[in-house]
Amino acid sequence: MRDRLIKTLADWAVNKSKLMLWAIGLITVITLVLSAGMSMTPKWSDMLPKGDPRTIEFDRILEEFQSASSIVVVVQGLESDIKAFAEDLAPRLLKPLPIPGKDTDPVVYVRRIDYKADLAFMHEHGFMLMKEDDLKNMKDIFQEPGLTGLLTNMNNSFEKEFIQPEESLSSREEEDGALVFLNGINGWLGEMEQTLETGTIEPAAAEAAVDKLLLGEPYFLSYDRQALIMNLVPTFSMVDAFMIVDGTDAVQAALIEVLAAHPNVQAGLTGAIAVGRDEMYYSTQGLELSMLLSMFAIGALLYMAFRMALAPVLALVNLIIGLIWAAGIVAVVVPVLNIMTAMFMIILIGLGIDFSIHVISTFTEMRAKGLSLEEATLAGLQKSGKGVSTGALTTAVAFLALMIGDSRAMSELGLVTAIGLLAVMVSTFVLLPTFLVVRERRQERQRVKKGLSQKTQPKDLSFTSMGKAGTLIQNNPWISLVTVLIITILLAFSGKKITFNHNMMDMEAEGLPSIMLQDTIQDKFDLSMDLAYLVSESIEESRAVTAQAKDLPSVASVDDISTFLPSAEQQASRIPYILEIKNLMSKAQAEPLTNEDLAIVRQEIERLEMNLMEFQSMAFLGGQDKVFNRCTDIVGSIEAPPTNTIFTRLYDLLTQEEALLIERFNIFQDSYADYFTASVLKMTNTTPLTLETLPVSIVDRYASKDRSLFLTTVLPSGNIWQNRLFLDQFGGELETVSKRTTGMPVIMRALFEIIARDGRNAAILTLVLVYLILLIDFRSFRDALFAMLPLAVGAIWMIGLMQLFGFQLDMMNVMALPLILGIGIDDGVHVIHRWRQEGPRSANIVLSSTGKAVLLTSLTTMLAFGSMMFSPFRGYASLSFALIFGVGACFFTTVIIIPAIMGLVDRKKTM
Amino acid sequence: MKTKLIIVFILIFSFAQAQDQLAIKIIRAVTDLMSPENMKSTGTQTIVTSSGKTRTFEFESYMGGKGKSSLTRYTKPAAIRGQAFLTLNNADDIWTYFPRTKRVRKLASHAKKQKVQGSDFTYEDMGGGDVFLTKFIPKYLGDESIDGETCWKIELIGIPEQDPPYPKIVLWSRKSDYSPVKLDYFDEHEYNSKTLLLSDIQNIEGFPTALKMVMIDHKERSRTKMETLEVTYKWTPPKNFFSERSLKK
Repeated sequence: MRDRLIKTLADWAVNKSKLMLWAIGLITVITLVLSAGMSMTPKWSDMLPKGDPRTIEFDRILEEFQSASSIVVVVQGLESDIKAFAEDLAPRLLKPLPIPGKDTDPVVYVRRIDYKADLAFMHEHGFMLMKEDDLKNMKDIFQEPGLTGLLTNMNNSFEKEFIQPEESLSSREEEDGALVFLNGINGWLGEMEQTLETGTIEPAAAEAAVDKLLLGEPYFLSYDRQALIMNLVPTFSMVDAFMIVDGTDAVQAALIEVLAAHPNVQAGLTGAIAVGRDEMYYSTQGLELSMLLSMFAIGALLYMAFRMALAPVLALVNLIIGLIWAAGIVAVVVPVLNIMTAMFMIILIGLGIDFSIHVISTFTEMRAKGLSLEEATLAGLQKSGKGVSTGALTTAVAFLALMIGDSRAMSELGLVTAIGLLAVMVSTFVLLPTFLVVRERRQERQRVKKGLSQKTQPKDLSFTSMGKAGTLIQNNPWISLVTVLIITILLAFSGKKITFNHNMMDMEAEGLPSIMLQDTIQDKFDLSMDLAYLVSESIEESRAVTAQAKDLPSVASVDDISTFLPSAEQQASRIPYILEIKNLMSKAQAEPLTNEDLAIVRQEIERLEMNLMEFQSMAFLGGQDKVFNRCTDIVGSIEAPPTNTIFTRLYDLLTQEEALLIERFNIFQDSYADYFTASVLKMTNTTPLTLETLPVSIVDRYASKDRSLFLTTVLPSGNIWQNRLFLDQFGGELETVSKRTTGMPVIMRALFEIIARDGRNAAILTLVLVYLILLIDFRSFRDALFAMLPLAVGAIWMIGLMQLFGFQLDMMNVMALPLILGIGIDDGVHVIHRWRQEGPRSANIVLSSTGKAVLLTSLTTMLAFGSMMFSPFRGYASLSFALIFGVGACFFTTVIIIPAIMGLVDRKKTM
Repeated sequence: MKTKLIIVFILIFSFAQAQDQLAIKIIRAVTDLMSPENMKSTGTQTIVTSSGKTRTFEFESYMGGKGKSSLTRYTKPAAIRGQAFLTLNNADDIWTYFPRTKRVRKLASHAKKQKVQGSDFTYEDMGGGDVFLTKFIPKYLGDESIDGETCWKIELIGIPEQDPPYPKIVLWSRKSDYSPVKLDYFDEHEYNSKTLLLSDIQNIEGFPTALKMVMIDHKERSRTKMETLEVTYKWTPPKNFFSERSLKK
């Protein structure tokens, strides 16, 4: 049947060339139109099985919770500069934004911006939001607005810090709480200093100092106060692939515009959407560049090999048309490519060009032998066609075997590559012979036109040196086989030592602005972006899940709506303390300061300094660097007497004349005392907090659009990428809280497990299927086994060489293992086919002709995969190296092992 | 048949009783080892700070009354030289002295469950006393080998009325000298929250002494290393040594 088909195709190529070209053109146009519907998703979760609960949950979160799909603006500079920048940028981003480079109407891309706390809400419910223990500790501060009373109470409360276990600085949460307190005191003392120095104080500045003291810093500032985060809630989500690019670009353009007016500020975008946009942009850009580079390199190689200017053009045109067909069909079957399937084109370039090489190689060889155009076309297709079709089928089957996997990463890659490969094979059988015939006829016409009667005999372009090497191996089979065996044993030992790199950050693109800003957030805010999510169907469930998650050893912190919505019992337990504060504060009044009060103020300031110094010492011993550094900012170095601190400056100011001091202290007291009293009284509001009373900005952060679902965010206590055991612990512990846990750590853990299982199963299936195909093709157990032997040895060499050159296995290059089984088999298939055609003692002709084609196809495949080295995605580069090692190894094992086997078999026959 | 059953029951009961007795015997021996009458030592404490840096302190430490009282004074680095902690009544009362401000401050009794300055040890972990005997019920779980040493594995279940420092502890004690080599501390959710590893055990003045101790906090993912540089059990505290006056020295 195959022979009949080959004959028909050869006949059509010679006798129906024009019709063939028209038909091919039509198919190409149709598939080109279809391929336009193809798109790409940057989500790792899209590599998990379609029905995987973690994927479904993750997609549901992206769809339902605005906070899960965010763009984060990271602003860096001096505190005052970055705050001013944020105030300018926020209103600009909320307006309709134009997309740079597109002539479309401006669109509103940002729904809301969270960059500072909702002070009005905090003023209204401040005390109801404080924990009972905190209220117990802090209530003393809220008794007197007067300077002496406030300072004394502040010191009393400060000293109490040491005696309450809940307030010990033993965790990040508590350290953050201490920082809020320190920043409040520092701000308030700063205003006091200003007033003592100048005798005036801006009312707004005094009120801001009180707010900071009572409620903390409103802006989302970093620990060193030199970076600020703005969380942009977009009008679209991560699911909208096109909006990700347009929306991020529009926000970026607006950001750049505002930056121009703030020369001392740096700002950039990160967050799930910005990272998604960068990954999509740079990966597609990287792949486009890779494709161009590989095509150019392959063209140059073919030109050198065939010494025919048109050969690379024909091969590449055939390949491009095959790729268009493939893309058209794939766009229908798998319209959305994931990170893994996006590289199917590169794989097709590497493998698809091989078909053209085999056909052109045998065609030119036949013409060199003096065969007519018809004869050469038929003989060329007959000699290479079997190998090409068997090779294509075995490779396609190997890719289809990947479909056994549950993960979409593997199953979809298998499907699209197999489809693509068959499409390129069909184009090679249909298009390439037609091209070769048309070219020859054109040359003939030109020759006649120029009056040249004698046709120049094409040169023999076979690789005679490879043939000689083959003869040498054939004549000395045992030496070759023993050498291969020794190398294989050595490389097997080397391969056994290879380790697996679980760090997904090593797969990401290096130097991407959004990824680099994630590191900035980690450094400056001590915040990881690798969050796990839990969804609850009620606030009570969310509260319970959060409490459970907080107790997990692998969890650093948990955030959910209960922070702003304590339970009814918790709220009730706080009310007595709040009423106590209300009672005391409503009676309190700030009396004007007298001479006696001045002594108390002086004494309390000294006491405050001592308290802060002791706090600093405890923080140093306790290893709480952030608290220690903040204390050092306020009271100076721990190792030297204080100089030029706020306290030393206050002491200098306190040397002023008493009357002047009293006057200025009174100005200071007057500036804040009433606001302080009013704020505290406002905060004593005991109206129960409910979902309805919370500000939208807070509810949106934790609740779904219809307020029926609630999101809990869990931050791991360690680096999930550098320690696989920890990733497993984190994922496993979260599963004890809820089976519906999701998020990057959970998804990646699942991917590691599923891909490893899929890879192993696919590899076993591939080996079985390939062997069966070879068995059908060769109708010989022995020859099928001979064809597979170089592949088995080549796979061992590949892993051994990777380890030897310092590579680790990873999420991406582990895919090379099943892939190489499909790719590497071709070499053996072609050589065995030719051997069977040429008969005994034919190593010379087999290797000089088919060996040349195998060398060229190996080189072109390596060039195609090698081009991925230039991809900014390090995952693609790691896969590229693995495949280069694999293809190279399979080539060498084929051209050494098979001639040696040929030698042994021939000897046996002659004996 | 009935008689046989009674015999089997008596045998099982006797075996269980014997196991419990063994556990109590081991824990008593461990308590004796961990609570010498008096002790004076110098050592280092290495912690990892919240920003991931390693910080090492040197200290001198005094213990009296079988661990009921202790005084620890930091000697290095200069930043905290002279800062001292005094614990009395099995860490029920804790005092601290700040040389920079020259003030002594009292920490509340329940601070004993808190971590000792940046380390993963609590004041209660550091104190000796007969906590294992009085606040826990021991149970012998079998023999296990740790670093080539055959050990008794004992489970200590906290007696809720006695306010135990942990709901459960699992302890491995060397058969050769009763010296504990590993302790797993569990929280109320049955999570192994901390692990203490004791090594470089040397016989000093008749006491097997672990010169290296590492406390691993599995929750905070941190570890604290304590190394003893010099130690003697022949030191006798002067009268009123464990007092505020000594703290300030």
